[in-house]
Amino acid sequence: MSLFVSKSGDEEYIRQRNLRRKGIGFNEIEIETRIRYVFSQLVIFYIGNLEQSFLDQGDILGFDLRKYEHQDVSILLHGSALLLSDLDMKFKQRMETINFAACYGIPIIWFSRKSIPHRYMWRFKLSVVGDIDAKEFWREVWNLNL
Amino acid sequence: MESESVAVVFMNGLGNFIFFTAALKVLKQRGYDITLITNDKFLSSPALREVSKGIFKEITFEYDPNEYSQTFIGSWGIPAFMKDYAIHLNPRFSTINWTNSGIHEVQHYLDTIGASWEDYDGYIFDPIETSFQADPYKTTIVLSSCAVKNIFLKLNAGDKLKKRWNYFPELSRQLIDLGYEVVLIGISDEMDNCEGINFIDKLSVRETGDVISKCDLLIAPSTANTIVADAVGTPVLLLEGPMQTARAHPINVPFSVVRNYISCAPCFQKATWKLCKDPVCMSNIKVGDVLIKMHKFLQKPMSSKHIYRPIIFPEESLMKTDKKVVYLTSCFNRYHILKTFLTSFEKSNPPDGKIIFLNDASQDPRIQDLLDDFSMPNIEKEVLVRDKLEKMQTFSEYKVNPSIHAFNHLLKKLSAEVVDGFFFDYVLFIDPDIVMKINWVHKMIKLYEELSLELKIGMVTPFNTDHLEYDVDGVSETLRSEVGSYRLREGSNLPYMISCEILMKVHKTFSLFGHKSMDIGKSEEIFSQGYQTLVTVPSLVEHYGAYGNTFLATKPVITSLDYYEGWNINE
Repeated sequence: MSLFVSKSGDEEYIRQRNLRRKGIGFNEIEIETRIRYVFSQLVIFYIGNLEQSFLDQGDILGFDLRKYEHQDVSILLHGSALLLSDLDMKFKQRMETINFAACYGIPIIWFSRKSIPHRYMWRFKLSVVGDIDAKEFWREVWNLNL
Repeated sequence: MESESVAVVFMNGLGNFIFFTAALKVLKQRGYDITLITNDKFLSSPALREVSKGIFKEITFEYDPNEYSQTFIGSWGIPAFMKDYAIHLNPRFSTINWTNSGIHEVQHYLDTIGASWEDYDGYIFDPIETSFQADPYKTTIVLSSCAVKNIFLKLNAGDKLKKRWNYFPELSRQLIDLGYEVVLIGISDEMDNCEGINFIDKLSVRETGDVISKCDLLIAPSTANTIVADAVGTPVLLLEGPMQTARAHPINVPFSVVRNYISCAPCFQKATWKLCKDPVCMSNIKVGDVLIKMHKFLQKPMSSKHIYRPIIFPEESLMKTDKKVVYLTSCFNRYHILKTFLTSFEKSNPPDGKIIFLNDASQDPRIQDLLDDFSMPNIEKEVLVRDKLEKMQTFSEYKVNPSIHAFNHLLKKLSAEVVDGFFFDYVLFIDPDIVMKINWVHKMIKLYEELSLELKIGMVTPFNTDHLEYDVDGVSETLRSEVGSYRLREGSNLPYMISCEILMKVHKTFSLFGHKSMDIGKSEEIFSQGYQTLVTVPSLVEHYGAYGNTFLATKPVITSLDYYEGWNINE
């Protein structure tokens, strides 16, 4: 397999061989598939909305909290964890994102004071449901040893 | 007393079977005698024979529905002859799409028997003691080939090659150089030239379990041995290429994943899986990647943790009403959720009236006990039990509108009561997967009485989508945006409330109820007569999302409770 990496600023572009459907068969093509981002801190991507108090407290503890806004899913590889708060994505997007993180062993954290996706409980390294304050929540995340 | 005899249907490999034992364990705890319906390949596998020993009352290759009180059949991993039964019972029966579902295989099996993750209590797997003793002064790493002894599906032989990792010999040497003790298990030439204590092709499955349990870490591609490690409590480092980690990762023990990014992986059971002749996803994983991940993982293995803090709603003075309310609730399994629901219902200050439960053929015997024990001084209770109309329980999610059938059943019961002179003002349809705020019913009644003077309101729902969405499994898209948006189910939005007047006006007579697909509360008829739904914002209930799918329906009236903050609630 050939893998070419080109650089532009802090971003790296990866060219990969890939299979693409053609008629009833498949063709091998080479495409520029993904962008690799370069981060320095302990990055946690979050989906949904986190209250400001939670963002501030996370920042104090040194977590680089970045909102994942349905960009290229491979950006998650550069995060130490994926935090799901109140989700605002459609089912397919949600499962694609969660499955991707699970496949790459990226710890997934569920955090919502409302409800919980019971059938996907196995996905989460940490799930916090109900009333919890910011300090207590981030202490639990810290204890994960990301 | 003789135990109830149930049948389970299963046909698959060793790893799948160990996952399946999670569901079998729950059935055993419920006191059932279990018969396995499978095909002849099951018994041709020594590994499966060994692991399944003592679990089943009987293993048969034929199915007679009259022999069992219930039959559990999943939508995946079943013999061909059983598919006919499943499709006959449920035309929407389909195989599960692991790529999109994101459901763990254990969860799938638990769903099949009507259990949830709260019921999970590990696997049934007993290792056999061997003479192997790990060096107490060293960290012992066990390496396993992707091929595992006695896999019974022939097609696996070729497919296994795609999970094959060719760097085990180099990894074993590096590990020994670094001071680790190395143990080798599995079969095939994948482990040729490896260094370490050699158990290649020498152990049975249960003996392998014993060896793995005595080691500190298993390094292997996703295979039956990783699931054995999960069963015996040894952490796992997964070398992942084509496999769906989300579907089959360990759930009891800490695990980590080594996977190099390639956009076509994971491809297991996709079209590219069959066509792939050069699994670069596996060959891309280098020894250095494994060692780095292993050191990191051994320092800080990560276990799962779940914290549940009950939601505490702000306290309010209790509202009063002289209206009489009938609560209709249909329950199907989910013991833990029902328990929370009943506690919440008691605390929510429901107006006087009557609650009618329907135990909708739950497979979990605890549901009936819970309903029987429930009591409130101001509310009359009645528990209906629906017999298991279909002895064979297909994967419940794919049943056609079971909730609607259940509510129609409840309405029929209510109609019988009305004929006998029973009187009520409002009827509330509730799925038992919610937690209610205090005074929720009073507020709905008050809103309705105030707004129905000006607007043509047919039903009131206390739930809207400023909540997390329902647990939708690929059936429809979820509507969700800012507070004030809404989503309705089958023209309605459980839970909802209808006044007796509207119900009588729309139905004319209760005897018209049938078992059509969409006549829950005849909601579509209510809308067709120009009535609208009143949705409260914010919601008066918190929703767990244990049941059901959602569909877009008519345009509702949306009202904000903020407007009513100045209410004199005791007025």
